[in-house]
Amino acid sequence: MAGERVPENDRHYTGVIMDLTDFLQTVPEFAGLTPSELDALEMSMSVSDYPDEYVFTKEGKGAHDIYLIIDGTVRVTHKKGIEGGVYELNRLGPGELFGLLALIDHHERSATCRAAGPVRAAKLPRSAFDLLYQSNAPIAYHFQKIVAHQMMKDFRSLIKAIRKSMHEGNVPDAVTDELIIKYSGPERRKTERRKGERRKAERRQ
Amino acid sequence: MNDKPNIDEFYDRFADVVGHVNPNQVHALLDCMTTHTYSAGEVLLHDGEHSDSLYFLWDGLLDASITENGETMDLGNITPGQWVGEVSMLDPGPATATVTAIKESTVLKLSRDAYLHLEATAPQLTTRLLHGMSNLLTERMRAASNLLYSRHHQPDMNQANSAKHIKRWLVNVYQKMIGITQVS
Repeated sequence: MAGERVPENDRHYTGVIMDLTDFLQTVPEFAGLTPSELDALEMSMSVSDYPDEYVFTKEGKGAHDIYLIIDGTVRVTHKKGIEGGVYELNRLGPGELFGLLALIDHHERSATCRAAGPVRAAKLPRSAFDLLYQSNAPIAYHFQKIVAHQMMKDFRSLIKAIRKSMHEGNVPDAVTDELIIKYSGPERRKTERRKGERRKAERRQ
Repeated sequence: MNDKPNIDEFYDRFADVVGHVNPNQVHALLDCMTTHTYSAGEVLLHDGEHSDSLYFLWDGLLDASITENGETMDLGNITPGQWVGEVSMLDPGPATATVTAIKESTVLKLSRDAYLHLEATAPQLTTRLLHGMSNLLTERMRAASNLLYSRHHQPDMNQANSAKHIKRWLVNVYQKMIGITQVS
């Protein structure tokens, strides 16, 4: 129940369970949801506290959950490849969703999302979303709209980047461009593998 | 064609985008669409100008092009069974290409207003339509991003090639983004 203190020996919860419905109402993407839609969403999500460095999604692996950050910061990074290290693409904070591409396809994730300090987040498993979608729950349409809105934003940004490059006669910077990284996961890993093989061959000579 | 097409034929022809929709609901989608015929040379969409409708090409042939730095670049053809304008219908804004009829062409138009009406009266249908369109857009962005990423990691090729070659290559990426598969 909202406001109850959770036993200290529970690994996931370290404090008071906040009222998720109250928080959802402050998130712009969920503005306009009816009380029953908010209830359906809340019942499908689970709130947990995650420790510093917790990996929500790992680059190159499948992922099936969507997360809504309630408190804390999540770093979005991708590997530099054979040089080692990572590029930081973005930092996400309270009210931001990530993992939405899991609702569209089953491709491997193109970036790692990791807690930068303690994070409290609400998780919506893909299986729970599928149940809402199959039952034609109104909240499923709302999530599709959130995903589509993000797709449109990404699409228009990529179009703009390509048009700018056409205008300037150069190739967009794909290495640190968050959007290109987001959508090019499998190709990027193939390219990094080929680079690694070339380096090995050069060292043998 | 003055009347709406047969439901089954519409469903089969545009399966990529309406395939997720329950066949029993396709009639509701067709009822919201209007039929338009364009003569050869007539323009449906202007690159960069405001657009808010989705056009399914039923019959005929359309051409897509863009203009950059005063130069018009041909992107390719749109053939029956394909569509244009889905991004602007969902998120009204500048059209991403000029679309012109090459010969007399018949389209089924779904305006933003009609889509919003469907959203209010048939949310199950629009949920599935949105799911189908999001899938297709993601595939296109993946195809374009893969090309962009692989090219970036061939710096020797970038230096050796002229600006004209790079521009032609970028047109290829743009074709992937807007779903053109038939080069004219």
